[in-house]
Amino acid sequence: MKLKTEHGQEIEFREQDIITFSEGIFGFPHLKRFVLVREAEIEPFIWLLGVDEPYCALPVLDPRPTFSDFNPHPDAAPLGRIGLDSFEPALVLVVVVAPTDGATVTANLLAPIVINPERMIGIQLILSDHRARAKEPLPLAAVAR
Amino acid sequence: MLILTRKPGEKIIIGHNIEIEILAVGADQVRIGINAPRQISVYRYELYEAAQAANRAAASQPAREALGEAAKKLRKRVKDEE
Repeated sequence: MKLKTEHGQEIEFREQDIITFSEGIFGFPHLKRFVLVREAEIEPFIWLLGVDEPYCALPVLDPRPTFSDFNPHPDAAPLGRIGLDSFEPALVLVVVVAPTDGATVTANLLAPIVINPERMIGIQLILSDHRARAKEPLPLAAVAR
Repeated sequence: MLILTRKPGEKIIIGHNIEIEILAVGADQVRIGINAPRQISVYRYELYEAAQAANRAAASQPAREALGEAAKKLRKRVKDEE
């Protein structure tokens, strides 16, 4: 299967690469099917690309290597809806905002995207952990030696 | 908007299976209990709005360049840590 992005880029994917979000994601409740597209240039970021509306492309990131204190305790109910009872087997991603005007690149730690990789179904949930922030700056400064 | 007046301990029901109970009323706060089927998400509205705004901002920014720059820094950071 193929789709064309906004920039005319052709993305090829297989039926089994499609992740179904039966509730959509926040702000895009009508979008149910996404694929993850990796691109060397933007590694470790990944594109979460709407298959039915390919111009909906959100950069996402596995938060754990970057935010070592990201250790949420999600509510059981939303996880249950994707057939999981913990974050352990899940693929957890956070949405990244990279403004063009040079403003701080931030990650939404408050509303992670959680995917059951075995069943290829996903959900975006809001953590009840009040410390989690929707606009957490990415630590981009080089580590001091 | 439908407006109802309730006392602590009283409930309202939405549809057949969403129950909302007024638990306590303080000077400037109301404590509410919600019973809903688990496929219904219940969030504080401002958090829901923040999540919507973040997703829309992420999707609307033609972020390729800014993202590439951030990616470079992140990769360097990981390398430095090793």
